[in-house]
Order: sequence, then structure tokens, then C-alpha cells
Amino acid sequence: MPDLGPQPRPDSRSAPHLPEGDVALYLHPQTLARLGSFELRAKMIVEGLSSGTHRSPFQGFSVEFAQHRPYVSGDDLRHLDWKVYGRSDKLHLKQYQQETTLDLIVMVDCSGSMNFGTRAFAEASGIGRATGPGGSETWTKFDHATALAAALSYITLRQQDRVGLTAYADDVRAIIKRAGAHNTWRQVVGVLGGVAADPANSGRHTNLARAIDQTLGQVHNRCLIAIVSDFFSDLTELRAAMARIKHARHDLIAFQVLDGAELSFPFQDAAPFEGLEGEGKLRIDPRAIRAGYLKALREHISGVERTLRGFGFDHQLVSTHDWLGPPLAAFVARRTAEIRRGKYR
Amino acid sequence: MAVALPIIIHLLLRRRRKVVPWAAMRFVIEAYQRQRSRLRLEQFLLLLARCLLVACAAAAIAQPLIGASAASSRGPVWLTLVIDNSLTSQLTSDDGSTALDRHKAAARGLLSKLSQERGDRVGLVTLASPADAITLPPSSDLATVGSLIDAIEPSDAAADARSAFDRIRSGLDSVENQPSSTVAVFSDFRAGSFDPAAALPPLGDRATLVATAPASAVIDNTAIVAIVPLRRTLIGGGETVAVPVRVDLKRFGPGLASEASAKINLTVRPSEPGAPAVPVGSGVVRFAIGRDSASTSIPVSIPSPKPGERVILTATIDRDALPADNTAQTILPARQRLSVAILAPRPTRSRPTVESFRPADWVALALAPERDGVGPIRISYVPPTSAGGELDLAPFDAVFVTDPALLTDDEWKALRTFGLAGGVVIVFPSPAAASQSWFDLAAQSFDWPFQYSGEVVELPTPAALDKLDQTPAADSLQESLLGLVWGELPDLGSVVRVSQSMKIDSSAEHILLSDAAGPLILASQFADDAKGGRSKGITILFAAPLDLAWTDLPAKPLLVPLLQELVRQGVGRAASDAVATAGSLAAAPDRSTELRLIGIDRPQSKSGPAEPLSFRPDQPLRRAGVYLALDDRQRPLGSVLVAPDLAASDPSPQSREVILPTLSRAVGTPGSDDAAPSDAGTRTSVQWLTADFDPSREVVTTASAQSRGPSPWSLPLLIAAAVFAVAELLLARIVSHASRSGAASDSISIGGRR
Repeated sequence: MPDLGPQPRPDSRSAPHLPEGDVALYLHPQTLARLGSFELRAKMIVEGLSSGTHRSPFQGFSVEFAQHRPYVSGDDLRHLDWKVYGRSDKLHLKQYQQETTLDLIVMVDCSGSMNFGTRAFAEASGIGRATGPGGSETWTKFDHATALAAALSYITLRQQDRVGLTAYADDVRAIIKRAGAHNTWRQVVGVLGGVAADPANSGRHTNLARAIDQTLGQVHNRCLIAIVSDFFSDLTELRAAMARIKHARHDLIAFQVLDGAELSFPFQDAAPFEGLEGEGKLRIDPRAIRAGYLKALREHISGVERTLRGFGFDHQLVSTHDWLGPPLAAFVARRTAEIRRGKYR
Repeated sequence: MAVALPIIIHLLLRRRRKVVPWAAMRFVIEAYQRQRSRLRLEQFLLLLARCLLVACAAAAIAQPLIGASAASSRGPVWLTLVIDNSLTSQLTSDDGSTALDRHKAAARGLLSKLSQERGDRVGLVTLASPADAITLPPSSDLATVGSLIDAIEPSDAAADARSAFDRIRSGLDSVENQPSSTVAVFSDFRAGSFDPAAALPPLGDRATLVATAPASAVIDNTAIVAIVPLRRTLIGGGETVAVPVRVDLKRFGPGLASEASAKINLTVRPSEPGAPAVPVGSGVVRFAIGRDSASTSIPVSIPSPKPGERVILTATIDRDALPADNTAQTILPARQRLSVAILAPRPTRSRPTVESFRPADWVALALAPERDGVGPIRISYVPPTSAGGELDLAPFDAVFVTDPALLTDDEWKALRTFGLAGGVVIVFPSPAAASQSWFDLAAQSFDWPFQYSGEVVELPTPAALDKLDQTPAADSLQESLLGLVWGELPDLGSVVRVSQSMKIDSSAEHILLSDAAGPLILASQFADDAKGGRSKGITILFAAPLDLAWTDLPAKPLLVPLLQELVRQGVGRAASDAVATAGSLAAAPDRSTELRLIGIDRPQSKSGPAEPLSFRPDQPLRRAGVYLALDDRQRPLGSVLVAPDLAASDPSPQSREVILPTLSRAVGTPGSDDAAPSDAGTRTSVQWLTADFDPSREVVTTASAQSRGPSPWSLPLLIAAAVFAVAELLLARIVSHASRSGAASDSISIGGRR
């Protein structure tokens, strides 16, 4: 196992470590079994501090051939391809891909809107616990985001790569610096559990651009950023945030986590609805506005997807009512296929 | 009200919803803002449809009621006015009007709300006993009924609600297709005029009963209960006659808790109409605290009554709220002298000695001690043997039988006839002790309630008359015959001794009693089977003859007043006029064809025509006073005295709670102050009459009106309600968006997002 560098320490704002049982809530054996046969491959060849299985953006003299280029004065003659010279009487250098380690930064939205869920916690967690760290009896979007973050971290760490965490709402609420220690994923779960249980984090708005700024300010190498959020923010703000990431030449995977009820709006009786981020209370007949609601949500999801794909990033819609494994595995499989097609070479 | 039902339900349900926390609120708000106008329009249309549905359904259901109500306002009204003109309706208020005046005005007011053009009908019944159905079944001649209301005169009788309700029901039942009717009772419901314990007959379930509210004013009232002259016949025409008169009074009201007094004025006047009244005496009656009755005796000197005249003696007390019972009257016939027959042979000697005195001689001596024969009692000897079968006793007022063993069967029958005609028969035993077999014949003829044991008691020691210190019972024969001399009897009777007497057991009254010898004098009224009661005639039986071997009574001073009083009072009692209570049928003399009111000493009614003064003998007499009985040739046969029904003098108010149950029973429902109509066609309730009561609005009047079918509006309204129901269903389905919300394919698919 490569050197993992300094041991990860949660940020001073994060919660203490969770016990082993709570960690298992978000990465229980069923999820791990689903993920065991796949490898997470970065969309881009990122620059790592240690050599790994990821392609390095820096072409050098590693084992895997990359391309030929014409010889110029000053090049090391050891890399001349003599076979090409013999056939074409031209001097070309052989270039190889350098494999590097992958830095994964997981950004988890902990705003008020993430604290919503309609699925029973006991059924979703899979181990019989009835309540989450915050005392909620429902499996919230934040719980699902935590599980997803844990899964990403686990897989990344299994590939000898480093993982960092940012929990954000209207600003950054907790940070774990990148580390490659085997149990870093436990730290991720522990910090996110603390964020969920902290009353100071409830009801906050989302300010993704600010969180991106604060996170990128601490990253000097190119990373894979995984944002786990419901993306209930304005598309303009999202576009600005993505522009920053693109400008810093980072890659990004967006997991848009929505509750099953949000996707189907199954309510029948008229009732007052109250927003979780201070939108106020509105009495509505759900059946009367259902179509309009689903249309607006569908348009918003499409807008998020278009914005992300416009920057060349991936977007994955995740429902809290689905098991975490299948969508995650499908996503990894698709990305691997795309990498192998040489999209980013 | 029904239209507001959907709104109320909507508001009630609105409050029950729990708040739903929701993360994707911005999309809910966005969807809501996009559809707000449309949603409001949908909700308004749905609410409108529901309100119209309820309104049409309610109107369709209520249409028969509305139709019936409208029919009642168009159809004829049947109204029966029941006016209380009983004794307490004469209670006078401060402004001089009587309760009857108020009742008549209220009835007039109700009558004015009826319409002759509409075919309204009105009946009229008075409550005073016996209830008079003046107009029943109800008449359509409203003007005439109004005049009849004005003509209603107060009565001195008690109210007879039971009889009135009986008449009303009979009157209504006599109409085919009996309509529902309103019966309006106008009364103060004071204790004297309405008995809450009376069982009123039901008026039927198609009657509505309205009544004036019971009077609440507390009123004192003093009434003359009786005026009793102790000498009932004025004997000795042409001379001033002294008669003690007892007057009994009773009072009602809150004044019972204090002492009170009432001044009584007595006047007399001849029975001829228009003769002036002459004051003859006065007295004061004092009521002790807590006592409601008192009496006094007033000596009256009646100046020079003419023989054959009937003197009206009137007692009057100070006028109070109820003047009708402040006056009482009685009639005293004046006679020159009484005529007495002694069924015995004439005395053989012109001047008999004491030893040779027969009982008949003692009787003659006691009744006519004057030698000149011009005294108030004239004696005639009628020998039995000469009587044969044609004993004519008609000229006599009283008959003495001093030796009954001499009488034949026919003579006993003649005596019975005489007694039934009002004569006084005084019978002494036969002086021969063993000859008392006549008793059974006499007892059979006179219907005596006496039982003779068949033996004559011989006392070893002569017994004295005793037990004379007890006051005779009121209205008893003892009181009426000997009441005037009762105070003297202990002294006069104590020296009388009885050696022998017939042993007689009796449940009848005994006049004088010897403790040892038993009853000495017994009295009984003749039983007149033909007239279904007691005759005025009296039979008096002595247990011992006026024979010194039996008793020394003939030689004692008691004999004269004893026989004089028995004759005078006995004849006076027999000659006293028939007394009736107002409202009842008077026992008029035979051959009477007219009863003419002659003795009215109190103010006439202020309103209405002159009071009728003549009545048929078979008519109930509602006004108190003296009525002269006339035959078909207008010759006077006697007089009839009618007194107010003092049971109706109590003016104590009675509350609604006391009155209502009794009235309610008449319409077949438990009493309730807020009774409501049970349904459109039948109102079985009691309502208190108010000024705005309108019989045409309150009552469904005719059976035909009720039997009408549904209103022509009912069907269209029902159809409209059905249309609105369908519209409501469609709108509710559209507004609920059930079809769209039920489609699972509308949900956002994860796969579709890739």
C-alpha cells in the first residue's frame, strides 16, 4: 500500500468520530458487495502524489505508451523510437502515460433542504436502526448523501488514492483534508454524522459558489470533485460555481440526490406545505399543482444536467428510495467505458 | 342556512390539516403561482355548485311546507274564540275596566285579522258555567260575531272550561272534512276561574291552542258567602217585624295576613220592580289575622210588610275589585197569619180543665194562647172521622196529629201529599201506650228514617231534657227550626221531665234529646221521589204525647216557644224560595213559564245592550239576583233566588307553569313554553297569545289545503338539484385532479434522466 501521507484530521468544526456501528449505517455490507467488482476510474488523468492506477496528465516514461512526437533539439535521445527512424528516416520520440494517484474531494450539501426524507430510516439503513444521527426517523437526502460519500471514499481508498471532504451549506461547515489512510472513509462518515446532528446546521441556505471557492482555495493540484446535493439552487449560481471548477481544470461528478416523494409528489389531501429553508408556508391542493410541480422540477433537473454537461461534467440523479449500489455502480461502469474509449487521452 | 353548509364544512376541514415540511418548496411555489388563478376559479365554481345543490335540494324538500304555508295564508282560517266571562272576569282595574272588557277587546283584535273574503270563519264560546257555544260551528259572518262579542255579559257563575272544550270539539266534529282550527282562550286564569286539576277533553290533533297569559296581579277580595235571616217568614202584616240576620263573609288574597273589617249594610224592598230599597240595619264584620271567614248577626226591623208581599233583603259590603260578590240577597215572604190544622175532634167543653186537656188542646193552647183568635196563628180542628177519603189540607200551613191511631190509610196519604207540597206535619204518639201500631203506616207514608222498637220506655225516674248546650250544626233542621230560641232552651228544657217515651232509633236529626229517654223530638224532610230529592215539607215526630202521664212538657213554659218555633220556622223553611247558584238551573215553581230578574242592586255592565231580564225556567241563570216566577198569564208563582258561585270568587293569580299542563292536555302534548309546530299540517301545541299573533299565518286551515300535492316548483327544483349534483361531481373530479395525480407515469424517472 502506498504512503498515505499524514493521517486525516477532521476540521475543528466537524463532529467527533462516530462509533463503528454508525459508520456501518452508511456503508453496510450490501452496498460494499455491490461496489467490490468495480473500480473507480477518474474521468481525467489526475496528478497524484503517488503512482497509482490513474492516468497522469504528465506524459513521461512510464510503462504505457501514449504517442509519438517529432524530435526537437535538446530532447533526450534515449526516448527516440529507432524503429520509426528505420522505417521513415525521421526522428520521433516515444511518449508514455505516467500513472498517478487520484485525489477525490467529496462535497456534501448539508443545507436545510437536504434534511428531508420520506423513507423509513430502519428500512433504508438496512441494519435495523430506527433513527439517524440527528434523531430523524426518516432516511433523509443528507443520510443518502452521507452513504454515497462513504461509498465513494471507500472505493477511492481501496485504489490507494486520497480522499478529502467538504460539508457545505451557505458556507463550509466541515472539512476533512485529503488523506489516503485506509480508515479515512470512517472519518468522512463521522464528520457528516456530526454535521447532521448539529442544530446549528439546520435550515441553512445553499451557497455552492462560496463553498467551491473555499474548497478550491486549499487545493493546488488537479482533483476529482464529487458534489452530492439536491441542487435546489439557481442555475446561474450553479453555472458560476462550475465555471470556477472548470477554470481550475478539476474534474467533477455531480450526484443530485432527491427523495422519492419529491420525484413523484404523491400527496392527495390539501394541506399547508412549509419550506425547509425559510420559504414560508403555503396551503395547496397537491393534486391540483402536481403536474405543475413535476414539470418545474423536471425542468430544473434538466437545467442542472445541461449546465454540468456544458462544462463537460457528469450528472447523476439519485433517489433516496433506491439502493445506493446500483446507480453508483452503473455510473462507475459508464465512466470506465468512456475512459477506455480514450475520450480524455 | 343550508347554503352555508358547504362553506362551514370547508372551513372546519381546513383547520384539521397538519403542516407538511417540504424541501422542494420552490417548485411548489412556482407551480402554485402558475396555476393560482385557475385554481381559484375551480374552487369558486365547485363551491358555487355545492351551494346551489344544497339550496335547490332544501328548497325542493321545503316546497310542500312553503306551499302549505302559502295555502294557509290564502285559505280560510277557522278560529274559535273562548272568552272567560265568569265571576272573576268582573275584576275591575284602576281605570274602571273589567277583565272581561280586556278579553273582549283582545278577541275583537284577533277577529280584525280575519278576512271575510278569504272565507275565514270564527266561533264564539263563553266560559262561564254552563259554557255557552254562542256561535258554533264557526260562522263566516264576522261582523255578527263581533257584535256578539260586544254583547257578552259577565256571569256570576264559575268558569267551566271542560264543558266549553266539549262544546268546541262537538262543534268542530260536526263539520265534514274537519279542518285544523285555532282555539284562542281569553282569560286571566285566576284561581276562581280556572281549575288546573280539571281534565279538559282533547280538542283533537288538528287544533292549535293559544291563550292569553295568566294575570299576575295580586288582588284582595271579600265576598258575602251567605245572608241567613233567622226568621224566614214575616208574620204579622202591617206591623214592624224584627228579624235577626246572620251574614257570613269570606276573604281572599294577601290581606289574609292582617286584620280586616267590612261594613255590612242591609236594605229591604218589595219585590215589585222599581220599588225603592230601605236601609234596615248595618253591622261590621271583623276578620282575625289568618282567618279567611267571619260572620255577624245583625238585628233588622222590617217596616210594615204587606201580607202576601215578598220582601227582598239585600246585604252589601264596601265595593272592592270584584263587586259581583259584594252583594247577597234573600227573600222573606210576609204573611198575615199562619193557618194550622189539628187532626182531632173539636173540644167538647168551651172551657176545659187541666185534667181534661187532650193533647190537641195543649197544642191549641200553645199555638194560640189568645182568646180572641186574632193572633199570628189560626187554629182549625179537623176531625179525622169527618175527613173520610177527602182530607183537604191545602189551606193549612201545618198539621198536628195528636192521636195518630185514629187516622186511616187515606188520611196518611193525604198527609203525605200535604208534606210533599211543602207543609209541616207534626205527629205525636197516641196517649194510649199500647196503641202505637200506627207507626209503621206513618213511617211508610212519610219515608221516615226512624225505627220504632215497638216498646214504650217507662222511666222509674223522670228524665230531664238535656244536651241543649251544643250549638246546632249550620243548615241543619235543628238550627233552622229552633235556632232562634236555642239560647233559651237550656233554661226552659231543664225543668221538663219525661216519664215515658217511644223508643225510637234514628239516623235522622233529633231536635231535642233526653239522655235517659232518648230522642224526644225528631225531624225529617219529605222525600219527593218524583222530583228526585227532598221536598220542602217537614215531618216532626214527638216521642211522647202531650200527656202529663208521659211528660210534664204541656205544663211547662217550654211548650209555647217550642211549638210556635216549630210551626213558624217549619212553615218559613217550607215557604222559602228556591235558591240556586249562578250558572245552574233553578228549581222554579211548577207552572212557571218565565223567570224575571227583579232584584239587581249593583251596577249594570257598561257596554252592550240592556241585560235580558227574562228567562225560561229551563235556562241556566248566570246572573245573581231575585227572579220572579210567572205563569203563562204573567201571574206570580213565587220567586227564585240566584246567588253568585262563591267558589269562583278567589282572584288569586296562577302561574303559566300551573296553567300550561292542563291546557296542553287539551291538545294532546306535554306543556312547553316554547312549543313548536310538530309539522306543517298539525300544530299540537299551546302558545301564549301576543299582539302580533296572526291566525292566518300560524294555522293551516283546511284539510283540502293540506291534501294538496307537492308544489309545482318542487319538480323543477329537484331537477336543478340533480343537475347541480352532476356538475358538482364533475367539477370535484376536475378540481381534485384525481386522474392526473393517479398516473404513476407522471413521476420523474431516474432512468429517464440519464
